[in-house]
Amino acid sequence: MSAPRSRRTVAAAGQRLRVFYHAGAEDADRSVALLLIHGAGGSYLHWPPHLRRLPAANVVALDLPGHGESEGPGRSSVVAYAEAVKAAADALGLASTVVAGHSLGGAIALEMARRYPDYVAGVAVLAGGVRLPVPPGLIEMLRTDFARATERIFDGAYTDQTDPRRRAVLLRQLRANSPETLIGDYLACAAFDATPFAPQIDAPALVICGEQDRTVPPELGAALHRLLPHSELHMLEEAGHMLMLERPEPVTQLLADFAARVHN
Amino acid sequence: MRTALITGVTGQDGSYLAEFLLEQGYRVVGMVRRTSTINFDRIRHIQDRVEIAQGDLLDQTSLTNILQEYRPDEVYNLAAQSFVPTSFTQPVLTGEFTALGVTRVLEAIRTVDPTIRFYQASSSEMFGKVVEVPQRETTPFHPRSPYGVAKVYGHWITVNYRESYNMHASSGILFNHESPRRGLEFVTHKVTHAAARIKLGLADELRLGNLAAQRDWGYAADYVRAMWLMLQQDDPEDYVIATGETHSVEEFVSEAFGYLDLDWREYVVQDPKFYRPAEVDLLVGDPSKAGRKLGWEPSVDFRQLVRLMVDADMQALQRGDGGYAPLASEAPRA
Repeated sequence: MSAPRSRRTVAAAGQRLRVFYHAGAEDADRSVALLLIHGAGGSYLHWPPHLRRLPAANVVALDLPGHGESEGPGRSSVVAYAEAVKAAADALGLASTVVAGHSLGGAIALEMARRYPDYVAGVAVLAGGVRLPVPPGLIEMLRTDFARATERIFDGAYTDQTDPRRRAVLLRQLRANSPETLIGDYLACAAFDATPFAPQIDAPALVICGEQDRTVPPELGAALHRLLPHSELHMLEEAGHMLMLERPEPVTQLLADFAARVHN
Repeated sequence: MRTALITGVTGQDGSYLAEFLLEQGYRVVGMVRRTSTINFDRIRHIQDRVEIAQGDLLDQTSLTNILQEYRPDEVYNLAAQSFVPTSFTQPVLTGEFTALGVTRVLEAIRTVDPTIRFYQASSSEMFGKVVEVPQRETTPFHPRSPYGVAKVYGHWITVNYRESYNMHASSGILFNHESPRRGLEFVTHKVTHAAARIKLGLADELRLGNLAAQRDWGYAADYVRAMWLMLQQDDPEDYVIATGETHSVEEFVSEAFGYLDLDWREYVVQDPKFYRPAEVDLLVGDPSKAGRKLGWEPSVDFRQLVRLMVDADMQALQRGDGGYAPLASEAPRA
């Protein structure tokens, strides 16, 4: 049977966070380690199962505070989320790792690379960018008309490429977030700007964009790529904002290759 | 119009039997216990056509009163504490419902109207540590759980009332029979539900006990037809109802996940917590008597069964409810 893995909760800064841990590598010290951070209103289940189970790698995927099965409250800044993720990684005893994030998770990964340069061996940003635009009025609408606001988020994030059988399920999952959590997430997005610090990130970087991304346009990912000193850029065709759900195979391959390169 | 009384009408078999008897033109009376949390999900779609009677297998008087009030022609005793693991933690309660409950129903019939025809839901779990393979009507019993022991009592008291009082009482020894309406605590539905959840990104693993365990699994809607056929015979007898095929839990898992293009090895974790204290041996039934005398045979094979359960779970999860609504693929059969 396959490598050891488990779902567990870990105490970080007084909160119980849910973590999926896959130990595919025998020697934890010298092997490839990958930490996965989901985006606004998401959960670790947004990561493709094959990525979470990479052979010969130790993979950790967690639910951010206030998301999925992790305790609330959520946070309302990228810095606060970066601190929470680092606390969880420390509680798990994770050594230096490649940190990969989707959308808001990508911003959190970049912030971790800035704040904890010794810890972040490489940083991967999926469907992210130098900034994370929030549609005008969305945050207010989350307060006044949650159903319409979440529908708008959903329509921007998902494309025809999404498995039609999953659409209703994914919308229900999005709506399972509290309004406060989503408001915090979008406040964090609205305030994020990597322009001042991206040029100082020494870690190797990988930027993956979906060509049809309407939530974070690929131009913003390309702009981030140009600011990062050691970056490579990949544009995925037939993929929107939820590129890891829509194109799981190439996303898994790109991240696996990147993590292996960083660790060698 | 003939009248049938079903105990356990809210369960998997009760709901399929009620549907079937309504199609045959019966007036159907369903007995339910007076509790605050009756789950009518499985019969919601036919609730306006099933009469509900309050009664309890633990209460003799309530059974007698129901027979006097509704005057059924046929009684199907499907109610039981039917989950094997629970019978280890609640063995006495299991005996009260699953064993002595049968005597109470038979006594009620004997005193009210001994011409009422009676069906007792017996189980392949009575064979437990099997004496021969495959098991047939003449195979000796060796139950391996308090549930199986209670069912052996229920079987023999049915035979005893037939022989002592000349009652039309039959015992159907049914091997495992599954459907989308199976409780989620049973391994088949647990597997198909988990496979659908994983496919839809709602879960990422499935913890199971002994993957090597082998069972003879049929489709519940086929099996309720056999119950009815037994009561239409001139002479009451006992029948094994089975497919005659055996499959392992691993095969079931593999078929369910494979149908959704998933590799089950990536998601299934074996957990000793789900092992039984005493596992039964190779349970596989010989249904040849039922084929010969009742003209009964299953209409759905193993692969079709797994797939119809997976389809139902995929649909239910996309709707966001618990399931149990009849599937298009579960259309009533003639």
